[in-house]
Amino acid sequence: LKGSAIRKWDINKLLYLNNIDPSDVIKRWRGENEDDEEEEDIEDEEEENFFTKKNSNDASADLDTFQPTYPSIEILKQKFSSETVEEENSDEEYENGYKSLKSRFLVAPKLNSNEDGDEND
Amino acid sequence: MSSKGGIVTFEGHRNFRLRLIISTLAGKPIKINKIRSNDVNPGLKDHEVSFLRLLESVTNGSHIEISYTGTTIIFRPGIIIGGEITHNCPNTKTVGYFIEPMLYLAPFSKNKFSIIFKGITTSERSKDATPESIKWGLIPLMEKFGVREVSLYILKRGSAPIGGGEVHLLCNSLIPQPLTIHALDVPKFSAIRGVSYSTRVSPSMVNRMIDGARNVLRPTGVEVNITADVWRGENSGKSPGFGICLVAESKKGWRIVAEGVGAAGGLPEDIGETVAYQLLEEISRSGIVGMSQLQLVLIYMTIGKEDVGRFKIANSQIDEEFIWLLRDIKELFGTEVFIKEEDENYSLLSVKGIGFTSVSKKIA
Repeated sequence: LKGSAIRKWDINKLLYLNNIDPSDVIKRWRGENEDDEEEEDIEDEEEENFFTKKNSNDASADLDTFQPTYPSIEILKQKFSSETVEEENSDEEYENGYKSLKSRFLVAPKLNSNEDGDEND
Repeated sequence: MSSKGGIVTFEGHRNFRLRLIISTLAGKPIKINKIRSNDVNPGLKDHEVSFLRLLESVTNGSHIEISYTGTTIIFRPGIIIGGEITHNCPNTKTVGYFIEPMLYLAPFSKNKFSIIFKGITTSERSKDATPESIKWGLIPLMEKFGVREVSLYILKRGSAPIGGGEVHLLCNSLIPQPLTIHALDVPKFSAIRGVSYSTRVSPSMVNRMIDGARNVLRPTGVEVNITADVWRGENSGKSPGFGICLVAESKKGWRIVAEGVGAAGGLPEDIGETVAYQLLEEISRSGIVGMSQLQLVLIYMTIGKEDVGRFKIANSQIDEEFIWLLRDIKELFGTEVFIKEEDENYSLLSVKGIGFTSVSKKIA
């Protein structure tokens, strides 16, 4: 893989270049586009193709919504379930539940461990 | 997306409401062309025309030109005056579609906003805000920017397809501009709340939704408190329906929202479970606020005082929609956002306010 060779783009430079499609900005910034150098060379025909395709897709899509899109429920279930209460006996696991979200929840320490312990603020 | 001869031009139907709103706030005329020009049914849709009418009625001196085919509009904004209005929303969109953009205008109006929206309150087909997510997700966020005393009352619920709902938006605070915000800490959520509501179906549906959601949320370890809200009789509209809205709350008042509405024939347990998982997903990919709230944050930061505000977001929130939004803002306000990547998960946004002053203060 050319992974290490990918140039890391500065998002601030890409953000307001109106000639670059936002989806491309994201790809370049995340380093997902492996041959972005090449693409620029064949910009003319490639891009035209790309835009017409895109337009026909966009035409019917609602591009003015409030709710974000989510991965399907199966993917979400997998994402959160494999890491959940796997070792239910372990105190720590039981207390914290979803491992990946541990840092995002403020959970009071369990009562049996230390009654007057810190509030975890 | 270019400005020629003083009028800013946009293309397509993307962010239709947003573009009109920022045009109104900036006081600059815009032209939107190629609206669904390749579609089988080209031009503006019913709800978009209805939104233009609403915008016309809350402003004074707005001028709207729509081309014969409906694929091009020119909008010259007037001043925001607000007032007491009743707006009948078409049945293709929920009332949230119309209420959400009003939140951007209401605090900066000449008079207080008091608008009654009639139509569908919830629909499984529409991806717009429900009254719940506005109440729980957007209004508390506005308080952070100094906009207090905004309230939303659900007078009648109305599920799709026939609707019959009524929602009252009241904005009592008129402020010159939003406060400059410095939100640098990613909050920890200490409670999950929610509302499970139904119209014209068996009351057991709301409890089944709650059960479904609770099972998913239990391992988080935080307090989960979901209210059952069953509507019957006259005030429950004309169609059966049910849905749930979940909110994660931090001690400092930041909130992340997820919501869902049951489809015909769908199981209430499933919708509860799905929304609960979506809330977890939203929390895992969000910084201080969720994706749906980010637009309000950015616009309010842009029209703030001439001072730099800072706001932490998750790197995963920088997506296509986000860039479209930033570009639209720049097109009309001329401000650029600076993103500083702090670590692999979070970035810090710096936005300089444009020194906007609301019309109420300009005239008085």
